[in-house]
Amino acid sequence: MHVPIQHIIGTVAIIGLMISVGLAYTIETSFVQQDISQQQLAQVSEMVALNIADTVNLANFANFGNFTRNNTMMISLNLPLDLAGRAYAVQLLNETGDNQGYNVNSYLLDQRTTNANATVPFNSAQDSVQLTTDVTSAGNLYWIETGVEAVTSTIVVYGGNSHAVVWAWKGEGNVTLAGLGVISVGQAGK
Amino acid sequence: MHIYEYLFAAAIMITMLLASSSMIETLSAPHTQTSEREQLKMTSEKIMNQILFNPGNPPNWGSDPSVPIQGLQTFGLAQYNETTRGAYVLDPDKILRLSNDINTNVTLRPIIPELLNLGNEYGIALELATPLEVNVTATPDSGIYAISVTSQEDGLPVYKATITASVYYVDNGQIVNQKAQPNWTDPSGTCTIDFSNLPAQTKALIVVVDYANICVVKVLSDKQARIFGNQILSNQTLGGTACQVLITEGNGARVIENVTSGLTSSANGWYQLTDPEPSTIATLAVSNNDVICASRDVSNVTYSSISVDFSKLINPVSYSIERTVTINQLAYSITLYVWRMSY
Repeated sequence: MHVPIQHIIGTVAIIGLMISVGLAYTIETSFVQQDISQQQLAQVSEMVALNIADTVNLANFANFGNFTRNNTMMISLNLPLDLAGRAYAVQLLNETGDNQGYNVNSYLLDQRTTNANATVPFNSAQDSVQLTTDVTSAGNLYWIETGVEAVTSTIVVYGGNSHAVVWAWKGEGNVTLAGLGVISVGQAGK
Repeated sequence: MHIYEYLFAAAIMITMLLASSSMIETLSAPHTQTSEREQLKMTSEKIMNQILFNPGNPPNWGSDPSVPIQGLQTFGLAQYNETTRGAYVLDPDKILRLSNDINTNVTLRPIIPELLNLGNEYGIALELATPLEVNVTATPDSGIYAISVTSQEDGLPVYKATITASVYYVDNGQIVNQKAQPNWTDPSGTCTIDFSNLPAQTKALIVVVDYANICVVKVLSDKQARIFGNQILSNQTLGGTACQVLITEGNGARVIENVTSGLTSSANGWYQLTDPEPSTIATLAVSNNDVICASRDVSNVTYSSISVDFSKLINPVSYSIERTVTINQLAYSITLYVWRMSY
């Protein structure tokens, strides 16, 4: 069968165009999806930062004099299970050395480059508020005097963890410690 | 198959791509906008809570003039006491420093966003307002004052608001005061107070408007000094006594009270009150037969992180959040505006 050369060129061109159109569409949808994921991560980061600020202020507000120190305050984080079907995590970053204060960073576990930051409104390195961003300082903390529930301080919490909390603790010397944590029932801390 | 059929097929494919892209953008735009709005809302709440519940560090930065505002480690406007706490109770000295700091060469604008760790990402503005709009107009050299009271929301006149006023002036080197008989606003929301029998010299006028337990205080004076805690900064030479003015509540009505205390001179125009009363609305002193008034009236104090007058700026992307707070035992509304500086 005789096939004119122009038909071969035309068919190849159409197939090439089809592939290009498909690729372009995929790239564009992935950009839009990434943009949406970033927005959702930013919302999660802001929510966690808001809760950290509230918990620290609550601890400072309620603990004063010599009456009510050494109690761990906490707020439960109702983190969504996933973001459009993708797993994510939230961590605290200490960027006080770069004069950028503390930040809450949320990121997709399968695509670490898709992440979003939210600032915690305490800036100075000499601030009396210190957030736990170091794995070596993580540990168990008492919650209220009963010791029935304990908060394990952590630097990363994962989406969907129904036991994720933010905690704050005001100790001696006017220093308030705060961070992310996971609550465990019946395991009173150290 | 002819060549134009190939071209037609290609055109259809490109059209489909463009239409799909446009649809994706259109469908995702509302979600993105809502998400950005929600994010801005949470940022606003975070900043507002920090400002309202945190006294700052050092906590007495408002009343201690030795603490430079650029030396703050944390920013907050909450009142600080060692033994008591009150939610949504703000420190008038801290608020006054927002608009009128000791060192006028210090630019506050970049300091507060930095302390709140906002960087260059967000701009903020704060606005304080009284629940009622009170305007006091003096008729020149007559001692007659016209007071108008309107609602803050819609500007409607407030009828039957109780007006209590007291004027302070110097007589024989001492501060004396005369109180006006309690009066009420008429249906047009106005009221006139007559102090025409007093000598024509510099006076300080304190007006208290009380309507359904909403109280607004106005302090008017020609010659003013600045107050930081128990210290007064004045470019005039002040006498050795001061008169501290307080608003108290007795028999269901607001009363203007005054307490006399000592005033000792320090260096460079600073004066120290010997027995400072908490919650004073104004502190008065004598200078050359004139009353010098250091007012703690915080109504209409504003702060903005940009040099533009934000109240005249129509910013559709800003988010505002309003809270009712107590300052000097009086109710105020504080509004925070937050907007993105960059996208």
